[in-house]
Amino acid sequence: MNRYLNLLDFTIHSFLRRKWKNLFLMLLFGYLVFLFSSVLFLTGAIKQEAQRGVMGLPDVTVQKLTAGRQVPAPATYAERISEIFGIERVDTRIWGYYFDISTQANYTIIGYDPQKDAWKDLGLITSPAEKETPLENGKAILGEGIMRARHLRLGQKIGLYTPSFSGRSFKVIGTFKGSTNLLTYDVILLSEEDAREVLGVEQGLVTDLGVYVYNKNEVTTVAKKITELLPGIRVVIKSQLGRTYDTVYSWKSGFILITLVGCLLAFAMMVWEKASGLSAEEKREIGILKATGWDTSDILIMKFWESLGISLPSFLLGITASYVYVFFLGAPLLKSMITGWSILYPPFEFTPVMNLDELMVLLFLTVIPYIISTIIPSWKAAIIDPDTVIRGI
Amino acid sequence: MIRVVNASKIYNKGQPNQVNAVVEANLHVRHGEMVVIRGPSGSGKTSLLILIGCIARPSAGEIQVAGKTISRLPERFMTLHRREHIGIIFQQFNLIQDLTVEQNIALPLFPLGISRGAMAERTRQLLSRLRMEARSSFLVKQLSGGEQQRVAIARALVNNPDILLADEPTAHLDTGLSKDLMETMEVIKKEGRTIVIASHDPLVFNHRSVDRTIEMKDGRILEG
Repeated sequence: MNRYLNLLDFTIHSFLRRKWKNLFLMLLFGYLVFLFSSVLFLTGAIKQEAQRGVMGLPDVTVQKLTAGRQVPAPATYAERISEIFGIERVDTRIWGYYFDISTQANYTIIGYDPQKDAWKDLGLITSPAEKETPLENGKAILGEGIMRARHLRLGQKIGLYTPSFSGRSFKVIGTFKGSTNLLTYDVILLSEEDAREVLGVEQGLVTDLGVYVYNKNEVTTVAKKITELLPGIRVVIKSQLGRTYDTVYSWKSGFILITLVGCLLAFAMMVWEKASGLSAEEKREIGILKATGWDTSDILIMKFWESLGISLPSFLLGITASYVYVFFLGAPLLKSMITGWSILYPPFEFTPVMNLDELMVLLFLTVIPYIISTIIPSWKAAIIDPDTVIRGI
Repeated sequence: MIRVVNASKIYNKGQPNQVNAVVEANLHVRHGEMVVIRGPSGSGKTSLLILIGCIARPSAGEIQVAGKTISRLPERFMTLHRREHIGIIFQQFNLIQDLTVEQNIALPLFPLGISRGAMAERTRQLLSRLRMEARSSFLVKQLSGGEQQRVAIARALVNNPDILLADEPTAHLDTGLSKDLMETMEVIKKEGRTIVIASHDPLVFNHRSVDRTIEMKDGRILEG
């Protein structure tokens, strides 16, 4: 035990002797880890946020297509779909996009009853009087982005135009929790009748239909049956949507990670440079240690601790910094590179997510190569006769 | 104590720059003897010392030190044997310049597994003996040549070796300091240690405490 403590003591002295060089290395190392882990943290948080939003969607969404474009579907589809065995319920949905000239932004208008389960999951914030009542005509629930863009507060009114350019105003009775901003930031929730009027959807037609299935294992089978029952429709399965979000954000983060590969390559070159040889001074020092009775294993233990002492704190520093950057500071700059699928960019708060597998990969890509690159040349210097090292023969 | 039998040391064997540093050397040093190996630069004195000091292996022949044939020992055992029995003072001192005097002296003790208190005590004793207490926390690079030499001696003695090897110990010292060094060597010899010095300094090989002088030339021992 004393031997290890003594070697540790020597390692610390060794580290302090080269403190500026080591601190520079630690900063560089930490910065690299920070860059990569920030992207991973951010992507993980966004994916989780998106998945949470997807959870509130119907198991199957049915849309009517004409000439490859989505068009309103007959509301009667709901009855026909309900006849399929295993279906819990079918909701007709009215929704569409609304371009607001004053803020130069697109809003998503949805005609829906907020008391239905799906919307409750998105954390409605309403005045107590409105809490348990369905969304009535003339009232609206707005996403946080619209509240901000239009400088609105609960109780105030928002004006919207119908396709025939007649104005309608709606009393704002609620908003959504900030944690669901990724999905709700640009949403206006109206009663079905109001939404139909603002979006110009005729009576008897709906934008699409939400289908809920009792047995979640049967969703694919039900979706197939719906397709067979109603030619010319498109079905979107919730799990498919989840995978799509995953793919989109993975692709975006992958793209950013590719741009960071340059940093990784620079780091790899530095590691390679280190691995290919020690400086004459470092070799001489190893020779002196050997000549004064140090064994090869003593030198390797010392070098292992030295490299671990540099790389592991740097790694943890990088991870901690990226955690603070993403989850406390909201990942400025980087966030706008990964999000941005909505016109009003949602300033949602990230829920901390740490994917241990990805962190382990990062650990293996940074800490382990660094330790190896330190130990190999030291081992090469330590196994030859110390006089060769000392005299430089 | 030390037996060298037909030992040779060749550097860069088979290459154009091959050096026959030691050629079929034979030597016997008894316990408690002080022997000086003399000869001009490049005669192979240092190489022979390095072989005896278990720092390098002979290319041929056999070397016994403190009852063990070290020429065929695996590297690890060679190191352990050196750690246990041998202290070496190098010509260039081979101190680590940006460590303190105390740390340099303690270098051989770090891997031994003794407590830090015992390490500090042993180092303090040697600092006191070599009148270096006041310099204990100085970096080696802040010391004069003579002081560095004393640090090198202290480091060679810190593991309490049976055998002390010194390579040109007076090379960087003035006459006064060289005399001091030999006085110190005499004291060390009186403690019962075996000393082998490689030197071409008359002040060394003419010193009263030297028992024998061995001449080397072109890697060969001429007399013994």
